[in-house]
Amino acid sequence: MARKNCIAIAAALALLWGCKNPDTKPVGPVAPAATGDVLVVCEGSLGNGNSALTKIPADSAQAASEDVFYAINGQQLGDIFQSISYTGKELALCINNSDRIYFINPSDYRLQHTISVAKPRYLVPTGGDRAYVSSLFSNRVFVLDLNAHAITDTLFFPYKNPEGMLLHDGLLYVAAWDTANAFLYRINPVQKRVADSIYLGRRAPQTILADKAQNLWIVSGNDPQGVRPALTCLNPKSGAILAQYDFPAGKEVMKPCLNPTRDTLYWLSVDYYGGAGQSGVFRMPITATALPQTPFVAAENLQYFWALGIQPGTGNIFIGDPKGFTQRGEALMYNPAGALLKRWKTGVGPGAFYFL
Amino acid sequence: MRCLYLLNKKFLLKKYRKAVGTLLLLPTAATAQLRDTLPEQVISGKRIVAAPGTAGLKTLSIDSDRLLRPALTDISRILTENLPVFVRNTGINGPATLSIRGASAAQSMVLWEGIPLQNPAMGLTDLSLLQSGLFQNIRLTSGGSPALWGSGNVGGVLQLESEKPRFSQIPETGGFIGLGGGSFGLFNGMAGLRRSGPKTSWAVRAFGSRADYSFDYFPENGPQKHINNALAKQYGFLAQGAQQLQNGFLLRQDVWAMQSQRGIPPALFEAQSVKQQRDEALRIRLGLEKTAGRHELRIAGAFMRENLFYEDADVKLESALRTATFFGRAQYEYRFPKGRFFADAPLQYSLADTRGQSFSQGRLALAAGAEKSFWNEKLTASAALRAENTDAKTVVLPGANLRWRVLPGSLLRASVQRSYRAPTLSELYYFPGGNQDLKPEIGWSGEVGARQDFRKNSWQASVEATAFYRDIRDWIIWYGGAIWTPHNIARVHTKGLELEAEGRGSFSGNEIGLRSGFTYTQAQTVESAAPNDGSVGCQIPHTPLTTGRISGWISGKGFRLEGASVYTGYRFITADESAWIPGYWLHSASASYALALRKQTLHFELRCNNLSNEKYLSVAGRPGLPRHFVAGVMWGF
Repeated sequence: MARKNCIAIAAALALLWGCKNPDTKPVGPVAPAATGDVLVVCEGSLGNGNSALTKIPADSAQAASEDVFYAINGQQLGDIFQSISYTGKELALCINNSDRIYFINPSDYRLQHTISVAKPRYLVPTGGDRAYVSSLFSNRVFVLDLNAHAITDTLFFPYKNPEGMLLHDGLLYVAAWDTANAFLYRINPVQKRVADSIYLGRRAPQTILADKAQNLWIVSGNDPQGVRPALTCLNPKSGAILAQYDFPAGKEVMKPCLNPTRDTLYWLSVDYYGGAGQSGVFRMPITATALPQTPFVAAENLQYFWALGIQPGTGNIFIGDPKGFTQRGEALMYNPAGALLKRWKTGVGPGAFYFL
Repeated sequence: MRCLYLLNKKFLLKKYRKAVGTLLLLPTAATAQLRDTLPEQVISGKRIVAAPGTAGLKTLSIDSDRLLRPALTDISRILTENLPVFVRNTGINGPATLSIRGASAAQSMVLWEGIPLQNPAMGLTDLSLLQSGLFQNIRLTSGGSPALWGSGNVGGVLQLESEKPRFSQIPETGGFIGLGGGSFGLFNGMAGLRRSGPKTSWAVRAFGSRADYSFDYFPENGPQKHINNALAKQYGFLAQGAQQLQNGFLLRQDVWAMQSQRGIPPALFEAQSVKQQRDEALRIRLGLEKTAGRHELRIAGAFMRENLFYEDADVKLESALRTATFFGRAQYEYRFPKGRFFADAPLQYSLADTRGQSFSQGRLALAAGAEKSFWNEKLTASAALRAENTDAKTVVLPGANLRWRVLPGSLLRASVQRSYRAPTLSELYYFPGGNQDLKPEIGWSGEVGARQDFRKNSWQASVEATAFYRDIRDWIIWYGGAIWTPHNIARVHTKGLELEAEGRGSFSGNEIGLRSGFTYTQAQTVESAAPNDGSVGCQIPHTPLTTGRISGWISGKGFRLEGASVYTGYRFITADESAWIPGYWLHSASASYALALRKQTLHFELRCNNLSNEKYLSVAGRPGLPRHFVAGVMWGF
């Protein structure tokens, strides 16, 4: 009897699973098995086709492999390697100026698939073998079938340069980095449509993060185009602006990230007129009431950091120094207190980190 | 005259003095024109005189018989086949820039009739926009001598010289029409007409070309790539006038206009390309010259307008750069026994307009120098001093040269010069990123050279070796993240060796010749202001350590066969020598025949470029053209 009950319960669960509510919130895949390795997205220099995938081994005493993609697959990545995402079974490498996305095996980096996508920037899996890809210079976000490795739909936005995306609480938030845009867009990833938008009050949103309180932090701005950078904290449920900080003109703010406990924001800032000591890595608790005035890790004169990441397991801070994009860059590892621990040579133009 | 002159060699001038005198008396300008275009002519009607103050500098020249051919050849190919320079082609239909002795494009000066052709915003000259057939002579003076030519002359100067006015008591008319075609749907044409009178002379040359350089590229590794979006069209003209005024003054006018439209093909790493570039240029020059006894005065003024429009619909990018340059110059020369004194006062005002913003730069210089020969003209020394003021910042540029004819046929040279390049308008004001605090690149350069000539009966040969050294501080490099800014970052030492050899002889009315050259250029960053800069101790990117060239010809009875091979050594494409482009050889061959009629000639030529169908990259990801043919016919009258 008990066995029959178990079977019945199992069958009921299976039926429920099979007929799951279409409104179930989609979630992205969990990260691949942690190895402690760090992948460095090396953009290369625009127009030279010299992107590279550098691997820093978990054993920090070892040298980095400057281009594991080339070493394994015998071909160059292309021009402007923008981002890495995990799709659940593969790593997706967006090569912006080569209009393609490579899918590689996360364990041996062997190339599995290649697809053509116009100016891909970031890929966000939304569950159900589906992913969304933002695209520079257009107003499109592409919907990707991760099984078929093919574009199945295209979503159009009122503004161009869909850039940063975040899957949060079942909705995909999209920042269109257009100097005329002051909205954050929400996509229902199941229905594949733009659900609504949230007014930010600051133009050119670029990157979105979610802190431990489930609030969103949006970095916006394009200083060379006359839009001062800003940092906005938003309650995504109510759309209320909880905090907003404006950076002074002449500052460039980019590559924000959160520490593993998601209670402290880090970002790179360049002050083109401030001279030495005004540029580098800045950090701020999410409860702070004012922007920090001095960098946590200061860049030296003629040093322009271009990549920032915090290792989930250790809290170590990884910084990319592209050295003018005319030579191999460097990855610098600092401990959470800001002490330099180690530096590695990378490919040209280290622009982002992906922690395995 | 064969195409390559080694100037400042008195024995050569002596050899040709009689012939030159004879040719100056040739009856028609048409004949003279014809002689300039026919390769089998041994001498031309032009008298080449070294510029004052260049006695110890190495100067090479390409004459009109190589510049104006029935199978028209682009100027980059002519330069690399004949001169110790490196031309950096940025791919099919892409800009091509000059590098002399490891100097950057902004440090390698290009002059047209003494007027700087460098775009004042970008500081470089796009050689792909220059038509070789417009010029009568191209002269390369290697080694920076800013004391003579001013800012930007760090590696050397390439001088483009138009046809000189000719006057005739009996009005004469002559000209030519050339038509060519070949691979890639190439069609080109050039026509020239000139008329000489007792007091007036005018000439015009017009050109046009069209080609679609699309092809399939099969790399050694990787998939086949279709190179498309490669249509290129170019047309323009150069008109010249000259009048002999009263009191011995010569008034000259030149108008040079051109337009170019070209598609920029995709690189191997690009999925596609719809990039388009349009260039327009208008250059107007007025000159007044007078020679009276030992005095010579030249005054010139010029206005130059250049527009560059670039569009990449793929990335929604459209840009326009408009520049205007006003240039004026007064030069005076006084010849005294076994020497001369010279003075030069150029003035330049440049404007650039891009993205709705305008920037300007003013430059004024005063230069003076003297050249004097000693010991029965065995030793010639020259020295010059220039004060150049750019936007209210003045720099003093000295230079001195020495030439010593040790024995008949043996020559030693030495030169020491202050090197200098002022920042360009883009480096100062480009938005975003321009740096108005930039200092000029400045340093010293020096060279020593030796030349030995041999002659026996109708055979002659020469070998020449030059060693050079240059130390430049405050080398400007663009650095940054999202915004790049030029900074005075590096100190660069350049040292190298140039070897030239030539031999030729005639037998039974035929001529045979062989010419070769080799360069070794080590241009290394020795200091850097950037932290942990991996470029220290490394070769400057895009500067080949070695280049070589060898060419030979045989001619007779109107026929001429030529072959040329040019080697470009591997080039680093990163500042820390971590990546490079392999070296390659490019071979070419041509056959021509000149049919002389009574007062006319027909000249046929067939040329094959990249004879061995070498697969090579001119820059990263951009392959050069495969084997292709050009045929042309030129009618001279």
